[in-house]
Amino acid sequence: MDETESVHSPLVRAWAQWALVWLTFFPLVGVLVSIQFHNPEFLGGISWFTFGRLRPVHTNGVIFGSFTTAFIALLYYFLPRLCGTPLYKAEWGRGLLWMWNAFLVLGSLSLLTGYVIGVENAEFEWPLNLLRYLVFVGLTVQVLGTIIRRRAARFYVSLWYALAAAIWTLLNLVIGNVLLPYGPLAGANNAAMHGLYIHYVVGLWMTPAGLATIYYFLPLAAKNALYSHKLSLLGFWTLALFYPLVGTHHYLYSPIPHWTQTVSIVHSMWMIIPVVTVIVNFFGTMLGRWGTVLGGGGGDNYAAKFLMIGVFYYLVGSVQGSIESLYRFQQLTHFNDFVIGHAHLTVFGAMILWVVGGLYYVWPRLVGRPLWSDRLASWHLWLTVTGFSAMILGLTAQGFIQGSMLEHGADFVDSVKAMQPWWVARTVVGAMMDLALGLMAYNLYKTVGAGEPVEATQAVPMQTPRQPIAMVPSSSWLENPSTVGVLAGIGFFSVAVFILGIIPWLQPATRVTTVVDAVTDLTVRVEDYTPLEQRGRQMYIRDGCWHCHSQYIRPVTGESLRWGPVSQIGESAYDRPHLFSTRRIGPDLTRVGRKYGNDWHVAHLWNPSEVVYDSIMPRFPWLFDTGVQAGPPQLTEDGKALVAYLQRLGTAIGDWRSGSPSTRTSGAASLPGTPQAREEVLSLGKEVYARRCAGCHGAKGDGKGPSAKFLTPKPRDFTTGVFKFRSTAGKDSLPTDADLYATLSHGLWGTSMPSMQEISDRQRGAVVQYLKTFSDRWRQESVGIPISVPSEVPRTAASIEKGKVLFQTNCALCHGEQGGADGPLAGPGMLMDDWGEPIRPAHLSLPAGAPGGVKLGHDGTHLFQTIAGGIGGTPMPPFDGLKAEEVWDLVHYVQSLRAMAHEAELVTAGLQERDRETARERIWAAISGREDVRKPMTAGGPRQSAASHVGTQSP
Amino acid sequence: MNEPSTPKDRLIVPELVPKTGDEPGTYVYEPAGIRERSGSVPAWLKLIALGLILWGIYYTIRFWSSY
Repeated sequence: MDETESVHSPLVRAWAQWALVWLTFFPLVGVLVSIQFHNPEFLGGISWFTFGRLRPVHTNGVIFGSFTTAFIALLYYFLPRLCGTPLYKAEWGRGLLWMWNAFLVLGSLSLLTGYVIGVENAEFEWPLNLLRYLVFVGLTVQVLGTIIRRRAARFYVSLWYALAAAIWTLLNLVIGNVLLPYGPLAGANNAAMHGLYIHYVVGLWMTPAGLATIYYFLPLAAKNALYSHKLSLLGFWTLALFYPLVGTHHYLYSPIPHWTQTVSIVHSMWMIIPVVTVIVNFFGTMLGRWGTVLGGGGGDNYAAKFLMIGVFYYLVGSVQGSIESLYRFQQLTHFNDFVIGHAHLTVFGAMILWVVGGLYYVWPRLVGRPLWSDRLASWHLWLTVTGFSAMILGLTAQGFIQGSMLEHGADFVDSVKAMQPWWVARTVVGAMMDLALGLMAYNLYKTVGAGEPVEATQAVPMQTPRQPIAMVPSSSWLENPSTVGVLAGIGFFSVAVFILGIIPWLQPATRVTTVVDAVTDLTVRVEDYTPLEQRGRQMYIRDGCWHCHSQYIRPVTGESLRWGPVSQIGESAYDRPHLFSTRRIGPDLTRVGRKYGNDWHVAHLWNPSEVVYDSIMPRFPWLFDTGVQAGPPQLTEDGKALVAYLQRLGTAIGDWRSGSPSTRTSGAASLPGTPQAREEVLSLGKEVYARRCAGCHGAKGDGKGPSAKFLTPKPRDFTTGVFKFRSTAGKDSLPTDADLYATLSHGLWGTSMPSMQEISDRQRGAVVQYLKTFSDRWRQESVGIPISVPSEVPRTAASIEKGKVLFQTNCALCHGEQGGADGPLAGPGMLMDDWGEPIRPAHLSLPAGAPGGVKLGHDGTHLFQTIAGGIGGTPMPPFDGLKAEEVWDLVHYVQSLRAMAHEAELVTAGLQERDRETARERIWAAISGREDVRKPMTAGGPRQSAASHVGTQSP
Repeated sequence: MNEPSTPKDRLIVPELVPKTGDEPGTYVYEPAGIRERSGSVPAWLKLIALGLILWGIYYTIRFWSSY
């Protein structure tokens, strides 16, 4: 270091060199991640590079690697110059750099290897957090020490931001790295606090650090006076006042207390004030200098160009951020690429470009040479502007398109598929942006050894006499370090955390471990995770499932129709950290439990696209023991735990799936008469079949799809024309179109045949017609008339008792005396179906979706027809010798088995004794489909019942 | 104003050109060489801020307990 200068140039240069490395590397990881959106097999099968592990490397890397490293380099440059004194403890700088690099390298490796905490933007384990924290502590000491020892008369606005940013971040990292993963906050309270943390990373670290950077370099690079000190004051203090209160807007419509959401929205909108204020200040600073800057070359002019481009993106991104926090806007845009566009606008468009501008200004001064190539700088600029603008336009459009599709009832997978071309474009423009950063790094590298040596950093004498602040009359108390540090840095921050993070937690209603049962509308207890489920949850976090799958269902945009009842606050009572997530690249998983059979999950984890053709989910082969020679790959213990966790999700509110969807559906149009119309229907059916059915049933309909090897029971072989569930009389009779449609819509609970209710009636009708083309039976035989279901006899205790007697005589041999699938003939391998596969009788008292339970529910009409007509291709014969009244008695007994079990489940879950009669009444009402007795919860409220969203298909 | 033409000029230009730190209402941060005008807050900006504050009060009351 030159003794005559305050700036420690070698130290700045060392940090700047690493900044150039990280500025190129971590965005490149983003390009790799982007490729995986449209080519999921890219780097597939390698656990380290799966999407859920790479994504946090990109996000954390850009924030802490690309931006922060560059900012620290620039801070080391401008801090001494603004204070007129050398950097305090400059000798720490090298050590901090190596600690920082160690954090970035080891941290990235830890994310890739799965040592993570499931807190977005705070994913690192504690040793790495400690390492990062030590660097921030050292940095803050340097900032404070330099400020305290300053000789400059006044405290420039850059220093306000830099000081406040350091304090805010020291406090925020305690929230993210200690309070969230290890503190008492769980579920919605954890999410509320996380909303603050996640936004503080951007709003109280990157934003003030970025503003500190541009406030310093823009007047110098543009060679003009800063436009307005008053605007500087207004901008800083309104940011310090409003920004700490915006974070909850990440979780609107979640179970977080409503008032906190509204407070966060209001403050998000108020953020327009500081944003516009600083924008005016920067544009004002450019007055009279535009021509020179835009037309000029050299490091300074390119610095000014990048700084002002960043200002433009900051304006767009910040106003966009405010508006997208509004309730209605967020209904449409939350969870999708619109938010990703916003994040890129602010993080890359503003913060990264501001430090890039700073580097263009500083680097030539560090190395004592003029910028090597204006042409390369120009390429950098235009690749950035074109690439980034295209990216933002694309992501914004994607957000509107996908949001609108989902609002209008599109299938989620279809909405993802519609994004594919846009994602390809994003990869291309993202690569352009990273190439541009590479060009800058090369340009600056060449600057070191090219051109004529020139005088380096303008000397700032260390001997400048110290001027007491008090002697400067124009300096306001609002701009002295103690006010900035204590009031803005600690005061406003603490108040905001107390209001939006602590007060909600203090409200008893947010800490309940109970929920309202979806069927009975009565309060029941939520159980903690079992050790197996807890282990599965860790796998879910380790592999980053939460980067693509949210876990809260909002009462808007038809989410309850798509995924199930709206989330309740008690459901996440044991989630620490919460896994609400902020993104939906895949569907919400709040209620995925019991939606599919276990086998489906196994097949899906092995190769998602073999199950769902359009899926972009990566493979998870490391969850399988591939060393097993015979049979399909088997899940490891970790994999089994993950499936157990998934099957648990959303079941705390009870047997909500039991009424959804109904088997009494009717939407399958018969095949049209005209050849052209027939062709259209079959063509659509073929397409739907290929995308949604062939993975299990095979392209030829023979039940030998690529996933079939994992599944038990085996997928139906359509070529035989034998179906299990149909309403027609006679063994193995052909089903009606309505039967097939009902099975397709309802799904077969506990198996790998999911409900296809998410696709349109037309698509379901078309695929019904298409799958009939696989067997000649449809051409050679006519479909019988559905079994007539006479009026139900009164469901009385006597009827149930008679049914019990009939059951013991006719059914218990297989189903067991209590319907528990434990009859003498139910042993392993004792019963075989017509396809030669072992088969188990149904366990008649299990809840909807539980493996081994009834496949199509306990609806009376369905049970009547099943008893009377038997189950095709299985040992369950038609009981056509029974009288109708006897069949109804049997139906009532079978229903009572489930009703009693359901009541027992509620009692186990803490149902109050006084509510037992009410519960029983409502359970029976649910089985009967009597909405008047069930008192279904409203669709828009937080306690929606299952029944309330099957209305269109209920009788 | 003429821009510097030689490489050295392009780098070593005084960090503030022209040097008008003595113009009224302008402060020069001497060690760094940054000039700053005292400036003002535009009336339209004050109006926007006022409008947003009023809107925020309304919105908070309107949506305090329900969507």
